[in-house]
Amino acid sequence: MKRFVTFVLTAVCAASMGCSKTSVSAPAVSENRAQVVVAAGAGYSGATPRILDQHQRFHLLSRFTFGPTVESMRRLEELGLEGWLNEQLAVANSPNAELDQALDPYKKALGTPGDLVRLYQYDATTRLKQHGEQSSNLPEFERLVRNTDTIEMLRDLQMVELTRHLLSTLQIQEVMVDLWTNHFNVYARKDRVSFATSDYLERAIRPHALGRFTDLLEATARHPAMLQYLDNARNRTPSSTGGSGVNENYARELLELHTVGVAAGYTQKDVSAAAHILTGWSVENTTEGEFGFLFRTAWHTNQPQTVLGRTFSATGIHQGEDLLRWLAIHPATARHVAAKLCTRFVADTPPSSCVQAASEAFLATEGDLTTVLRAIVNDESFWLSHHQMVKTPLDFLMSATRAVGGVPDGGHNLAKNLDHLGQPLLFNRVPTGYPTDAASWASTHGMMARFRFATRFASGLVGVRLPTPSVFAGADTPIALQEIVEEKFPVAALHPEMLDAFVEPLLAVERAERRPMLAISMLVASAEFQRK
Amino acid sequence: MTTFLLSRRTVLQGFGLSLSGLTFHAESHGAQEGCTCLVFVSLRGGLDGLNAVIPYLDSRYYQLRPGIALAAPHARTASAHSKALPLESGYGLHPALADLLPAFRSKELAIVHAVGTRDGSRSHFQAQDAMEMGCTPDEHSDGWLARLSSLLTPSSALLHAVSFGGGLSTALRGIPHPVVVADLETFSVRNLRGINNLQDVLERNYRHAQGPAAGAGRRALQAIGQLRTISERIPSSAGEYPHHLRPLSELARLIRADVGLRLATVNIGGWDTHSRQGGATGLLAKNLSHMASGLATFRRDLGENGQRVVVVAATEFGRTAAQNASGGTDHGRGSILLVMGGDVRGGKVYGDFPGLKEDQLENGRDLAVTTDLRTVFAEVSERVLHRRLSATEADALLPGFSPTRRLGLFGAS
Repeated sequence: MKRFVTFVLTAVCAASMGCSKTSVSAPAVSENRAQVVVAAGAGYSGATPRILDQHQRFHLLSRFTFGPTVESMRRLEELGLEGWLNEQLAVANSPNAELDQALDPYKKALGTPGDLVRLYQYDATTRLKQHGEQSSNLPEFERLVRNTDTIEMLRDLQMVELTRHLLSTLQIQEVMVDLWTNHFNVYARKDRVSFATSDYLERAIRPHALGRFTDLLEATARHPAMLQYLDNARNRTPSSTGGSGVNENYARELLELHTVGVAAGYTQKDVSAAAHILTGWSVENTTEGEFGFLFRTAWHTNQPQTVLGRTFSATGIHQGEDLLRWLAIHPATARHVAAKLCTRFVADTPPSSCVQAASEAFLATEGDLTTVLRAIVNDESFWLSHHQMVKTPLDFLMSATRAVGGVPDGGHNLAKNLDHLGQPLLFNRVPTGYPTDAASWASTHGMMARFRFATRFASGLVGVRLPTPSVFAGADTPIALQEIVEEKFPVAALHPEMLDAFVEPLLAVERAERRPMLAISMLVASAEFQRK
Repeated sequence: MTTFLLSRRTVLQGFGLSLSGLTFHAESHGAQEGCTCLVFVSLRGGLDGLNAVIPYLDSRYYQLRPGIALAAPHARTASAHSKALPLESGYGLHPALADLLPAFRSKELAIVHAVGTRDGSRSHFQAQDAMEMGCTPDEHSDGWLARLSSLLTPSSALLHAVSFGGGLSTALRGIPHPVVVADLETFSVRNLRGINNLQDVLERNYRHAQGPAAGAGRRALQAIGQLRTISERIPSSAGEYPHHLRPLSELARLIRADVGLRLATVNIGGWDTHSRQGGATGLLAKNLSHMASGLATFRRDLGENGQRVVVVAATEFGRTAAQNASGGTDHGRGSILLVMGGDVRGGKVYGDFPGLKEDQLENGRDLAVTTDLRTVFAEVSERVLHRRLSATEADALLPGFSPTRRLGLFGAS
């Protein structure tokens, strides 16, 4: 039982001080542990820690990755904070055979809008022939067939994203992809957006997730997914429609959600002017099914417009480009985006000092996102915020799967489980994207769904292939199991109450092979696992 | 009946759970406060209203649907079981809906015809959103029942809003503390092979846990405990429900348990009949008979609780007026809607039937929508609130909606 005592001791320290060194790789010398804890605790006075202790590593990985794993904990320890950040932010692709293999079943969903339209319309036509249907209402029937395929395609696409989130070693990039996918939300089930979302993620979001905000903004603005989702594809000058007004949908969200935010104090006149500037930003319609970006000159208002006191006089498409570039580095945008990032990484209501630091980094570099992220990591409020946030359903699902080394099984079950947890990926109708705050996710039914998930997860029913041999191989005795849990689950920063609750039932389960299931269920369902 | 009520309450008080200072008293909620429980049944997939409630006096109906039309009640050529059942004023009921006829005749069931949303996309997802949100996504992001709930007296009942199915229904999205129930019988966290005390383990874990998820977790565990107690103590229905209507059986148990349930949603799918939908028999007939039998059993199950339960069953759109070459119908517009219980002024088909001539059809192909679904939502809301909605409330609940006229589904019109 000596081992167990050690476990409890470290857990108590972790819970009460948020700064313990639990034993992942260090030898279990419990006598010395308390001193380490005290020393690390003293180091929490504010300055950015250069050498991270176990708990700080866990904290960093809980926020900037989709969940700490034994491997990521080791890598961070090896490289140190700076080295790890450098590696992550350089976004250099290294071969990842495990990821490639896991992605393979879902790759059909990757392609340009035209590729996917052709692929799925071709499918529909072939199927029609196979069925020998002579429908009087062929377009309708085709649409039916296509709709069925579209959901398969979108499930594949969800799985592509989830698989990357799980297995990519460039975890900060993955987290940022998720953040921007929500910041620049599109609803993948709206009309033709379904065919464009894959390309949107691939070419508008991913390449710029850790690049410059300007590039991200421009790429989303001219992407058919966004143009269709927020209707700018139909935004034309009143003179070309015989008097009906411009479509302000995208222009409004551009100001309110994507760039300056409501705090900038713009008015309806500004929204209207921005909408006029963006008239003609549309999509092509070819018989081959392509619908890439197309600037329709005849739809453009082509008059100088004033937005937030700045007049844009360029002609044609240049007027919109000027607007986007100006908005992208506007001080209000810097603050709005900084607040968004701090809300994601530091706290539901982040301290203004942190937002200020991130905002200044944004302005100083004209929106270089890696610099902004470094500013957040270097802010003391980040290091003081451990355990204060609640995982979103996506965080929860990813971190549970990563903790046990699970890999998607080639089906769609994992994506469907995320639906059940309340956050269907890419299927959010509202342009705000999914929230990340505790109030939105720590709900009765949300927690019921997590409990239900925990039991299904442990029973292997969520579309995840667990590694063989199991992470729990050799856990023949409760003590051995504890040791493995302690080693394999960095979340072993647990309450003593939890350990009491955890160990007794474990001892009571006679058949040793069933203990891992209970252990996994407990860990995943525990109050501690919901926090990050 | 009184004895039964008392004993049931005693039973339920017996499981007042105590967790970390949060004490739950399962006292009687509904009957005491005269609360109405609103059950919203979402008939997903697009129910063919024209073959459910048949406008047999309209000769165009028979021209457009030669292969799938139902014979008029008085038709001499047809055999008895293949004819529509007479309702009133030129409407006939699909014979597969015969189980609903007693409720219609005793005026506990009202039908609205040519009803629908404003959404003309004919897309399942968009039209379902329009129906369950009661607005467009630009207007609100939550469901219409969630907004209705904010007009009700705040409830402390754990099970005040329950969504049956795999996830939270759109209609309830945004409501504080809803509960999602997949299946009462199997719903518990004990349900893990070989391990029978995970719930206890979690309760101990959450009892002293900190942080915002901990409070929600405790509440969730209480809800799970309460559901388990109900499933153990309240007998399940004696009546038979078709398999996919089992949620109605579970719902009836929750209502009979009298734990303060006020809003519930249930989904019944299978209406997307693009091919071979059949006439008096076949695909649609089978699904209609399941629905009718399920709703009729539900009504019997509720017994006298039925007085405080209003059921609204609606679909996102109807189907094309004409059959297609596959013997089915495609996505259309207007359909039917059912309102049952809660002293509805039943025995009547409400709404204006717009006719089936080409110029009467929407886009020349679909039964036009002459009654906005939200007319029904507004009247049902007033029934649940026991008062009229103010203009401000109506606009918050159903933005931009101004009823041209009331249907008068409840009370004195």
